Amino acid sequence: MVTIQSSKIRYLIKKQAFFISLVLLALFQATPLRADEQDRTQISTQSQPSISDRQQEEINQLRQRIQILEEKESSEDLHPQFGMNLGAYGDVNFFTKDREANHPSFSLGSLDLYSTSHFGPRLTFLAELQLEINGQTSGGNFDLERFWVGYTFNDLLTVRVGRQHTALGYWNNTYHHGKQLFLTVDRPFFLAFEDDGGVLPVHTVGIELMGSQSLPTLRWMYELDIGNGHRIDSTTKLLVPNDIADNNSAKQVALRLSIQPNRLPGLTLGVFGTSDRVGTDANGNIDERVFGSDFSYMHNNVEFITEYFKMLNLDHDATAYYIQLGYKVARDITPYTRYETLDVNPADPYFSELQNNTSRHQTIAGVRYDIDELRSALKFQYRRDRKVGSETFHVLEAQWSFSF
Amino acid sequence: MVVQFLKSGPAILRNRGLILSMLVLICLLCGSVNLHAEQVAVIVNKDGPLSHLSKTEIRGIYLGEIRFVGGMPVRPIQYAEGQVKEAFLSNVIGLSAKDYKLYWVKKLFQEGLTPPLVKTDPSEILNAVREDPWGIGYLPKEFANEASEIQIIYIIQEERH
Repeated sequence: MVTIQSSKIRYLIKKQAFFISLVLLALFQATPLRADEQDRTQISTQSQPSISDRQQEEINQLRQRIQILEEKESSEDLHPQFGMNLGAYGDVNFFTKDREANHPSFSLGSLDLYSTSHFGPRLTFLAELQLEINGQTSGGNFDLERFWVGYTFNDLLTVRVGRQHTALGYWNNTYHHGKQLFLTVDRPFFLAFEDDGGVLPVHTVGIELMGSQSLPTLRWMYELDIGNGHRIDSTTKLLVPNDIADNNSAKQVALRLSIQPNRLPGLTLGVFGTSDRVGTDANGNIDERVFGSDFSYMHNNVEFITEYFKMLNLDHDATAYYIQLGYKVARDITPYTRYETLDVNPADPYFSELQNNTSRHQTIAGVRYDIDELRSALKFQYRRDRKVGSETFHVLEAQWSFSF
Repeated sequence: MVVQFLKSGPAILRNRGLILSMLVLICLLCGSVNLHAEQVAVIVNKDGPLSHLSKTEIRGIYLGEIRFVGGMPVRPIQYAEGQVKEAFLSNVIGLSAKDYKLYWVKKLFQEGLTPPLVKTDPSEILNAVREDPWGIGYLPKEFANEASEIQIIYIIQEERH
């Protein structure tokens, strides 16, 4: 009896030992091996040449490298750089009857050509030309939309001179003339470019100082523009940036300050303001001030932007704002919606000179399909366009945007 | 008495073979994940001014937000497309490879800035960082372990499945 029990015990212990061995073996496999790394370090230390030999070899390599760089630099000086980095943005549209067109229509968008270049890490160049079809003819306008040269001293100071987008808010600073890069068919209507009936001075010819600094908790940025003011063309009733000469001695000044908290990637908060003496034929020079704030969140599948503008002219003021939300529901599909509004006093001397001189509100809802997120997208949207004293339009729009 | 102990207790505890088999299986699974984990190392020149960069600063460099250190231009180098690059972008930048490309497309169009240079060979990255005190790059850690004149300032654990 005792013999049977002890053999049973021995059997059970052996069985337990077998399984425990398997567990230990599995744990041993999971642990990264380190010993061979120590051996390799010791071996590499032992086989190092003497210090002076190494230094001599480094000096020889540096000499060769300097020679190669000097030869390369002298040969590159002879080659033009324009077009080395040349890109294009374009779009073709379709829309049903709207405020500007009486019939459902296909419409050529603009062809936006841009080229950038740099010489070393500090000197940068950019030129952006836009070809737009003019009215009902096949002729077009070639506009020099952006054209600047910049020099970077350090992260806190870059100086640019030329024509650029005024430091007015998030959208105007982020999105230029390439519609492939933004979610919707078009910009908020009050942020349209001057020659498209926009009411804000979105281009400046002058000098821009900009910079940023990364701190432990956030990154802050600034852009300061000093340039020619604008005037309103009494014939076209459009705002015109004075590209060649200013029409008065006052200069437009614009400043935007923004922050990006490190703990909330994708979030940008900004405040901005501009002061401009706008020349008009009927009302003389109008001192226009615009103040505002912007909030954007672009992270993961969310794209949210909202901006608020307060426009102060003499004794009158106007407000404009928009709220836009997009959410990527699939790899290539992003539904979106936006509400945008402009509230204007009819007696405002600034707005009375412009084409868009009454309060207007738009609601859009659409979906973007990325054929290729970098190169091409299809956008379909519904737009409800209400204007005080005018008909309300319900418009269906489609756009094929692309870049190459 | 021992036999009685081994035989006594709740039924599940009596099925020691089943419990131990499950433990073995769990350990093997853990081991299989660790077996395929690789590390990505961010490297700088050992004698250069970049040895104390934080993860946030590394991110800023690869996003073009920090372009100068000590008044001199930083020269970041990217690894070729693949899992190493994806691990770096996911862990340090917080973007997918596609979103990173889109970020630089916009940056180029807005500011005329170009993305970091791409090198396909780890030895090219090592040489570039060795030769440039303001150079910074990333590559599989195994290539950096024995390399002289470079310093590892950040390590990313890349999981492969």
